[in-house]
Amino acid sequence: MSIHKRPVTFILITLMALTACGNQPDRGKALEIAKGLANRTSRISPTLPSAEELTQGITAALENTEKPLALAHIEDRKNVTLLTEVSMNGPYSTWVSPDRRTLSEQQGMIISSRGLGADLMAAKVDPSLQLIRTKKSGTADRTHVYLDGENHEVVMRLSCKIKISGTETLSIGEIRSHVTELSELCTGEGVSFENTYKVTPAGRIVQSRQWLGAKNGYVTIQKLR
Amino acid sequence: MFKASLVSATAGIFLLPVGLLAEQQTTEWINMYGLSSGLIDMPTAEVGHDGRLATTISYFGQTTKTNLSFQLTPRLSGVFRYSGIDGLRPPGSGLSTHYDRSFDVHYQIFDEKMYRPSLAIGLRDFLGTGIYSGEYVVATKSVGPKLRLTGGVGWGRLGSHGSFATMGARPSGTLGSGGIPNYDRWFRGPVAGFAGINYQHTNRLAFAVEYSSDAYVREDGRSFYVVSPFNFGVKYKLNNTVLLGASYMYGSEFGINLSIALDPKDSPVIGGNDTAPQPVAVRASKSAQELGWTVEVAKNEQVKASLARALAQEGIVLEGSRIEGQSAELLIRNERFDIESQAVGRTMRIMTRTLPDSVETLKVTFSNQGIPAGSVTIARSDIEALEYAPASDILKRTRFSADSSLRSFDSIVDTHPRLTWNFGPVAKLSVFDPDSPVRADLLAQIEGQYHIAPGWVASGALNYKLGGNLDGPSPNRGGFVAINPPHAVRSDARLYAMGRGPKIEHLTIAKYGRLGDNYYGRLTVGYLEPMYAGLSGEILWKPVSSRLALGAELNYVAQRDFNQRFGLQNYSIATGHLSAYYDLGKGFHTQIDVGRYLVGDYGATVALDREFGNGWRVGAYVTKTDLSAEQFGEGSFDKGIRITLPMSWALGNATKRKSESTIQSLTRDGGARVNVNGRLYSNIRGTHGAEMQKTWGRFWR
Repeated sequence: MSIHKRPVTFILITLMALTACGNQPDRGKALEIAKGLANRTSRISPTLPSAEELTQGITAALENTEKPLALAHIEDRKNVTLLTEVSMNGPYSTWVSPDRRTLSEQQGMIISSRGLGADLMAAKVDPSLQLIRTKKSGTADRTHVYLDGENHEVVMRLSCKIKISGTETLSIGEIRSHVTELSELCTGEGVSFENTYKVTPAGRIVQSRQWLGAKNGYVTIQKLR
Repeated sequence: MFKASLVSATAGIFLLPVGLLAEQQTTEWINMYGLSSGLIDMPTAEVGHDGRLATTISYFGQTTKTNLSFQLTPRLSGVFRYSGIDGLRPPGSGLSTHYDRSFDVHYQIFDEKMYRPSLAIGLRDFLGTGIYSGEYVVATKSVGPKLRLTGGVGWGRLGSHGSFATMGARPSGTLGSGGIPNYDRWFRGPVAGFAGINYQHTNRLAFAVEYSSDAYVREDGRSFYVVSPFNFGVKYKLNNTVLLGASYMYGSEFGINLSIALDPKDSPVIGGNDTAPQPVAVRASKSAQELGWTVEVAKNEQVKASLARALAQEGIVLEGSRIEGQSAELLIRNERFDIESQAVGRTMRIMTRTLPDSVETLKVTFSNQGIPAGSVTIARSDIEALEYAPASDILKRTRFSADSSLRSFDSIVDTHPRLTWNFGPVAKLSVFDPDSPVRADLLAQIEGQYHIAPGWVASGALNYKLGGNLDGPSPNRGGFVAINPPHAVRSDARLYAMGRGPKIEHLTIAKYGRLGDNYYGRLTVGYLEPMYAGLSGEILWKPVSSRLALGAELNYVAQRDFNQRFGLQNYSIATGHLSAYYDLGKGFHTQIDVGRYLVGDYGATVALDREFGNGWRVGAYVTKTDLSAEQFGEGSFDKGIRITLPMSWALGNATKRKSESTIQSLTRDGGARVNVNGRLYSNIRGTHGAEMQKTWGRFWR
């Protein structure tokens, strides 16, 4: 007896695969597994909004809430999303996107991400932050913590050079300020990246382009309030 | 002439100090035998990346080889092979294809240095009938970044062409009933040299030429014609997973080679792409003194309800709780996170958001079928302070224990009784049989668990066969026939596969319990598995931080009717085992079971697994009992390879689903055990600190 001689059975099998049901957790996910394998990382729409759409979106968002808001753009994903600040813990704050991914920062400098895959688990950035906020050139060490494929923490040690690169006037959302632009060039074993920051006279980072890690690349964050 | 010049060129270059490199000799390429090698049919002294798991299908000269290879340690690798040789008839069989299973080991003795090649030794097909039996010692040297030269000597098959010496006589008989290491043959008989060159043109493209010392004595003239000992190959790396090879073999045949290589140490989505956890809520200073809420019953109930709600969103079920003035303990059932530390982290985050400010000590206890297993305790102020620090910091402030009992908790309504069920297709597979590569049945199955009360579970599964060929002719008609075989306790599996059913896969009532701080128990009664019904009891001793666990299991079982309804056959037996489980460290785990098996044979099973921090497991086991090789039949004793693939690895998001497969030697009756659901060790171990610490990096994920 062979399966091929029984088309009726075969159709039944296919139907069952599509209709496996029950209330046990984690069962009947054959289709999801197939989808997951075919589409492991790109779950985000590949089209960027136009400048006009963006302005409209920002205005609407600012009118709708009193909370701190920001705009984030992960370059490798070609995606722009609104972030809302949801939590403060001492100098740290966490910002969430509508699809429940988060970025956490220490006074504007990114120290972790969650839900992106290959997340930045933690970062120690105090020396860099000190120079950036006071708008000084200099050198500083920072460390990033990632996970490896076996869920062990891996520490990346970096040494960074911070330089002032210019000044300009920034106007976006409710932010209108004269800003100083600084760059932070970091190198470590097998990696190098350059973060840029725009800092207000009061020492607030209102716009920045920061490196999340080898997989996720750079994220640009624009504070809107 | 070409032969002589190639060999002397190879030999000559070993003496030349020009452009030599001392690099770690790993290779991505895989040869026709599934071995990490830059050549085509011949071995090299190279190794694959540590932990690499690869499936290679190769074809030439009417021979198809399906190889499964694993780099067990940086120097030691093994290959399991299932080959089908058309044109070669197995003795005493009507089949036109000779199906054969074989196993190789390869060990790199030392890596290369500036002036010294790397050296490896290998045994091909060292168990059983030995159709591919051959041994080798091989050296490989890099010359510049692109060229690697290999030269070696071989015995057996690898000493069959152009042998220059003979080291004693090589016996051809099989030891026992096959399946035993053929140590009487190793490094004996004619010796011949082989050599080869691999040229890595680009990262993706490489060329190889080799001089083979395998004369293909059995196949020559039957499966193909050996015209020349030279093979020429081109290799192409499609991506990090897929490798392709094409070659011109033995002057007469084209060959192809496809490898799919996985690195279980890596994950396609590191840390998973599940949505972010809840942020920790930090208490305002001084609010921790307020204890007024403890006397308000309504407030307490409200807290429990919101805990349960928030946990449910994370796939975690609150089964019990105890919330007091300064401490809180939750009993949770983690249904989603395969990495348990992640479930603890998410539960603790939710506790900071929900519990009254006075609660300082947070304890999370895992439930195994309603019974408390391991616990994790962390101070709430540490959670608040270390939320953005590496997980290794909070680990230093974490206490693991296993001291909770059901009495520690007020129960939560709605968790018992409850029914879970599933209806869907189930495939039963039998692969790599000696005369059929794949046999399978497809069944429609409905299964369910009724959780009556904490620790009490009724479970059943009913199936109906849709189609398949598991009930086909009995396997291995041409192999060794057992002499005076014991009662058929497993080998009549095809009789159980006959007929469509409906069949009762299992139908049991089980009781789980804690018998003391480090003691866990299970008692299961009913139709335990498709072939046996009866009583099964187990006790496990597992201290929370111990690498060692001990277990004892006793079963009294009767063989079930072939139709798998309620009837029993006239065969019953008491079996049981004492088990020792030991975590060897560095990702290795061993288990030893000593006891009485299903035909009443006494013996032991030894298993060794390599465990990866993302749930992958690759291991092997052997069972030897006092049943003689003649009585056991083909294979002499039971042995197998087992692989666990975590679905979270494939999907990228957390799930406890995993795919477990075992490639067993022939299903025989010696060394067979009863299968019963809910064995304690793996469920308990995952909730204990010793295991959870290994993947603690996921705590804050």
